[in-house]
Amino acid sequence: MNARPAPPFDDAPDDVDRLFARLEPVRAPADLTARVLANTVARGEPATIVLWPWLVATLGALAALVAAGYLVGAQLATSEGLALVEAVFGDASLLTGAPGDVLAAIAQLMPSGLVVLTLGSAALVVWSAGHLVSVRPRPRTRAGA
Amino acid sequence: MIIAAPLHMPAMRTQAQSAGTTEDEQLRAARRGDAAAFEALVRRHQTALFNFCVRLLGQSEDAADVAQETFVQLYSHLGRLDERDSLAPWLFRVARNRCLDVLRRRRTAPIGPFGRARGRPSPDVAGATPAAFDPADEQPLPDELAERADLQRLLGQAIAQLPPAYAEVVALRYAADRSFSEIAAILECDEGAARVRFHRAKALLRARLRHLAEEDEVP
Repeated sequence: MNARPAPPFDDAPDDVDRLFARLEPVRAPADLTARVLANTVARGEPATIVLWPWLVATLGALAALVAAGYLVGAQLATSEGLALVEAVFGDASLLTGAPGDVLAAIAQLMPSGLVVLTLGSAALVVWSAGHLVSVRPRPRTRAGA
Repeated sequence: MIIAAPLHMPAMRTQAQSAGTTEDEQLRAARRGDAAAFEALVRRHQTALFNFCVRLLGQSEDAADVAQETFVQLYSHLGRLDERDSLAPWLFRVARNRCLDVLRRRRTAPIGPFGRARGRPSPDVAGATPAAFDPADEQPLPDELAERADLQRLLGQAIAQLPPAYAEVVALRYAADRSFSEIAAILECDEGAARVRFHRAKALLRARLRHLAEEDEVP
């Protein structure tokens, strides 16, 4: 017996194929293209959302935050600042009793430039990371129209 | 309200210019921000995509929403698509996943006033569970079926009442007119598996059509 096995499926159209050949295509809604365009190009957002500048900005801000935080910590450690911070955290009455004196002492020991850099880089991290997660087209569906 | 907002984009080409180019050229142009090229891509694929969705979901409003969401996703993924590959398998894959999400949501939707969730009839009502069919059903369909005035309704119903795994392959073949190699790429299986699934689906369709035809004949 050298007969080859029959192919598993015959591709010749059968009665089901012939019946479904009469299946009429449904017209897409006339406003479908307009709806798509209104949710994409007409929103004025770029076709290709460029994320890398925001990623670089976020990473740069994080690096600045880490460096500034380290410098602030090192400055506090070499001055009396760390002891003052420990004292304030250990005894809250110091802050409530003489808040002006405590703040003045902290301001004297803390390098204001580094503090501004730390706060600024923290704000930059929040801002650029916010952009990273929010920049994408949001579709408006029929229900949400 | 959804409105067709006019497109005011710098250096925008006319639709006629973009429509005459090939798909990969349109894809490259759309990636550069050419609104007319993106519109031409949408027009190129929307009929087949919508027909696939409407046959799988059995309902045109949800199908239009799925088609719209698919094209919006295309827009946000333009930069990540390889223009050497055909766009259709990617689009159908996205639409298929979104359709399956809609069908899943319908299954968990609260029971409506007609006793079942909107859209696909429950298997019990339709008698459409796979077990209800004889997969070896090869008996020819009655000739008069093709002459029925409500043929389009019957065909649409027969597809929409199949289990989703079979409805999707039938919708791709009969409604979206895809080849088996394209179906295999969309379903992420090999071509042989796509053919097996389609032929099983056809056996179910045959039984379903006979059932629907007999059901409608009962006075």
